Amino acid sequence: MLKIQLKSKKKTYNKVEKTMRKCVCAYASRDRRSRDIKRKVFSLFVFILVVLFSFTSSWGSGFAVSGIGLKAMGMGGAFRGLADDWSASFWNPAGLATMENSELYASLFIFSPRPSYQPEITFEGYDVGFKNGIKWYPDDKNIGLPNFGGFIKIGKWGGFNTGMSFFIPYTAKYGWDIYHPPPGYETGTPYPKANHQINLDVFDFHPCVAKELIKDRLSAGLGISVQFANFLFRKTILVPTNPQLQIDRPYENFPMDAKLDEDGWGFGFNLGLLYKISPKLQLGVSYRSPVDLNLSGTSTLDIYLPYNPWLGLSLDEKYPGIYVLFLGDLLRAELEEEVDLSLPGDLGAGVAFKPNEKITLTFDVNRVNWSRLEKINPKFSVDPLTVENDTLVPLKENLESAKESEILFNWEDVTRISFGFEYLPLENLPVYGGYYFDPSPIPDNTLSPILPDIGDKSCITFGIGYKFGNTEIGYNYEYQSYKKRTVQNLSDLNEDGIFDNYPGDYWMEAHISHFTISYRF
Amino acid sequence: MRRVWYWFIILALFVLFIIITFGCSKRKNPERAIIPPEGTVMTMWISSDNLENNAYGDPSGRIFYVYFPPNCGEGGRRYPVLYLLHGYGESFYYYDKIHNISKISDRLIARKEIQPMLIVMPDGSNLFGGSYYTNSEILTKEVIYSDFGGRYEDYIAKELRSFIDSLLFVRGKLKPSSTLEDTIYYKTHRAISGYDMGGYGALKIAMKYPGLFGSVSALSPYPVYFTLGEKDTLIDGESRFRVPQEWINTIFFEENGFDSLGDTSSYYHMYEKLQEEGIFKMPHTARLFAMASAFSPHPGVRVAEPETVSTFFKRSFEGALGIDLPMDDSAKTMFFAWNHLWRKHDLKVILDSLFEDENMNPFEETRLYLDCGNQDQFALAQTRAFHLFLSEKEVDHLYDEYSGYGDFFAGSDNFLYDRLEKVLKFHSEIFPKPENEAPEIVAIEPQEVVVDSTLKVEVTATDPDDDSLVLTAEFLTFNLEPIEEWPPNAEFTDFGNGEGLLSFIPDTSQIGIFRVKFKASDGRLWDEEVVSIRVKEE
Repeated sequence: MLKIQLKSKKKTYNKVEKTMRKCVCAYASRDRRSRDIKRKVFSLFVFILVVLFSFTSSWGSGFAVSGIGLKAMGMGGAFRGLADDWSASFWNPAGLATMENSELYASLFIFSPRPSYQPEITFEGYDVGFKNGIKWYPDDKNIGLPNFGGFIKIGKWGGFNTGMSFFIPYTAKYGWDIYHPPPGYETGTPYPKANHQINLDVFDFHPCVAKELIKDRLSAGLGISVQFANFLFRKTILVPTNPQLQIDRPYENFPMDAKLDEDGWGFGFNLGLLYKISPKLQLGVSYRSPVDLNLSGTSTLDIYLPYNPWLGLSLDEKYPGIYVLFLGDLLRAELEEEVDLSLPGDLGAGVAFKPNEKITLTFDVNRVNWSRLEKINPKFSVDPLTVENDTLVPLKENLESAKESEILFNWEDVTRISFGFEYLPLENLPVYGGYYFDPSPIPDNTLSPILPDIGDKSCITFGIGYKFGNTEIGYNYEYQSYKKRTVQNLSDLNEDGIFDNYPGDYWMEAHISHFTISYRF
Repeated sequence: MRRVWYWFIILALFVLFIIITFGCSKRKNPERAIIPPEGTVMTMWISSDNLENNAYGDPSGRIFYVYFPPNCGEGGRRYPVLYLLHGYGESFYYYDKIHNISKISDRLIARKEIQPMLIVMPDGSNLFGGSYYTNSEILTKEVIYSDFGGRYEDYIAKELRSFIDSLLFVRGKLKPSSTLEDTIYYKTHRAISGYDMGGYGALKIAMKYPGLFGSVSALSPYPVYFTLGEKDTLIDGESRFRVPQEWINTIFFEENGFDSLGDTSSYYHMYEKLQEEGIFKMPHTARLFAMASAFSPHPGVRVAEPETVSTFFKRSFEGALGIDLPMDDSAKTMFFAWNHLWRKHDLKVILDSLFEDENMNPFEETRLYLDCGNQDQFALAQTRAFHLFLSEKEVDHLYDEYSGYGDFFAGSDNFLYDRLEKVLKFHSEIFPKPENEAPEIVAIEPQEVVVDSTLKVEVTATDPDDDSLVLTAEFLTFNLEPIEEWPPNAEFTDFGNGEGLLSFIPDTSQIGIFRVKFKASDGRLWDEEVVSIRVKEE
């Protein structure tokens, strides 16, 4: 506005013009300084805000995120051979050796997973309460999650680049309502809607160090993972009342809403090498160590007892005292427990090829040893059988088995293949594209809708950035297409009387929309 | 120029972001739990002549449950009837209170998997835990003690059936003027079923009254063939049958723990043990006494003090009162009791004699369904044998031997929850589909009219069978007072095509609220709609 006013008065008011020019220069200079301060304040604000409310992000295999960083995700995760921004601390820490600046990165993720599940769970043809034959959806959300990451250079000692970053490598959030006690099984308290649920976030505080071992040729990097996890897992377990009691259907199982809610810490590291064969060709290798998270918290086991006092009284003659189980009460046991959650290691290699200044092509292959995740075996520190409640007595043996129960995963190792490119139509306008193929580590005999990584997924990614000054804004879109999967038979691998998988038909697709801003300083 | 680019790109990215975000809409799950319209279970009571003055002191007035389907009786609809007989040791409330038959039925009706039907759940219990739906009577050459323990068969097949037939909304009523064709047609509207002792009763009543029930089902019926395994000895050219040895082993050795027979054992001791252990631990012993109360009551005596079972049993076992068992305390078969009293109540024997002596198949026009759990501790052997016998005689029937799962075996009454659903579907298939569907009036909103102006209420009715409909209107009340005469300033026209029109020009004396009933009838069934008309001053 000020400039336009000046132009309109230019011809007639030269003196005024000179005076105003001085003022404008002073204003502009003040304005620049002000904007610099604003940028810094803004960055700091984003940093604090996002650390406070950190969530994330998109799914890779199992419950791993598919990637970190605008550029890396835009290129389909084929980034181990390139590793030239802050997200190298995740993909290949060797890439940090040549970074000149710190970088803060914030994004708003809209993650829209759309799984569907049609249960077919019967016990030898008999309905036990799962809502068979109907396609169910979880509580669909477009989850708007602020995400934050960054590499902050602390200093340079002896040729070492050091820094700190923060990201969220694992996450899963689903809530399903797929169970309701069968018709005729009336409960005194309504059965909860979120009866199959997972809420997992793993936060990774990641100090790094990297060094160029051979100038412009070979770099190496090391990162330490200090991980903190929140883990909520909830499912319906059908506690068999038989064979000890021999109660008629539909009371042959009492539904138990089992909820584990805990948090804890774990430690690991990652290593990387980056070798520049020529200015156009670069190779990278990285390894991420497995992490064992030691979680502790409480388990809440709610058994929804049926309301049928007539049956209770008629059975009471056979099993004295049993009628109390048929009054529709909610039987609750709250237990302190500890759980070890084994997260996988990852070994990967990548190549980056730069045929000219405007184009970069990348290819990655990596293997994730999800086979470490065999089971979750809660260790109860309070023996549920010591709970002084007479009504527990008839269920004593069943609760004994519940105490010993474990959540089986039995996952398998998977290999992911990724392709990506970067194209610069303008110097400050990078365009990214990518594709990756990522199989599911979950076998048929432990697949459940709680973690709907249902099968081989083919994913395409597209990203665009725009750089101005030290700042880059960007947008990334990812579409994940999963192959439909049908699981036929119930499985009880550990023969504890509790089935480990959920037969039925599974569908899944996901849209990930990702708006980012990064700032180098 | 640079600034324009800057804003353009930010805007484009933001728009893309918004489109993707809101393009992924929230999908709606189906209803979590469908709550079907609820039928009604009514508690009814009947004073039975057949049970009056019975020797065991059981009440002759009996409570029974009747399940009425949702919206029962509206528009003149009539329903088929299923008689559902309970098992040993249970009572009329068994199916509804313990197995939620009303909920099962509501659900199946809502899903249109069965026709709406009445379900009658009578009481067949007696002092010994079960009447076996048998006329407990002794017919000897000298004396006929025909009402000794109560005539439960007659009570169900005649008295109760007749009472149910008198209910307004029952299809297939038998009238005194009914012809044989009527009877055969109407019986398809009636079915009988039962579990355990009820299965025995259902089969027995259906065999003895082949004109009454169009379909019969028996769930784990016991005892369906209790002469299975009996020994046949020819003495003086006459067959003399002995109680099956397996049965004796179960009752005397397994349940009562006798080391040997004929020493210290006695029925009195068996009774004592039964009192201590209860019927769940000694099911065969308990049933033995109950069957004896039905098949072989001790003739010529009555229970003087029926207040307690204990007194009764003591007297009974001392030989003075009550019942006769088919074997004595040394497990020796009592010839008269077994050969002349018990055997004639065995279903296989009854059926055999019908085939052999009368050359009659009682199930010729009755559909038959039998089932049994494949690990049923009571009924399996007998039901299998009975099924083979039926097959041998070429009796058309369905037999289902179902299994359990895991450690939960299909024995006794396990899985009855599922079998009841199957049985309801079986009978519903056989009940004739209603020949005529009721018409339906399209809902009419409450009306308002100002004095001296014209109110026109259009009435539209549809009929699924496209029957011609007669529409009528009736002024019921004015300000809650009944209306005797049709108001002179109102007129109703039936156009004959399922549409009608009420014209009403109220005057100042008619300020208030009228209630008018519109009715659409196809001659047999109808629908009604009551509408309020508010007449206002200007």
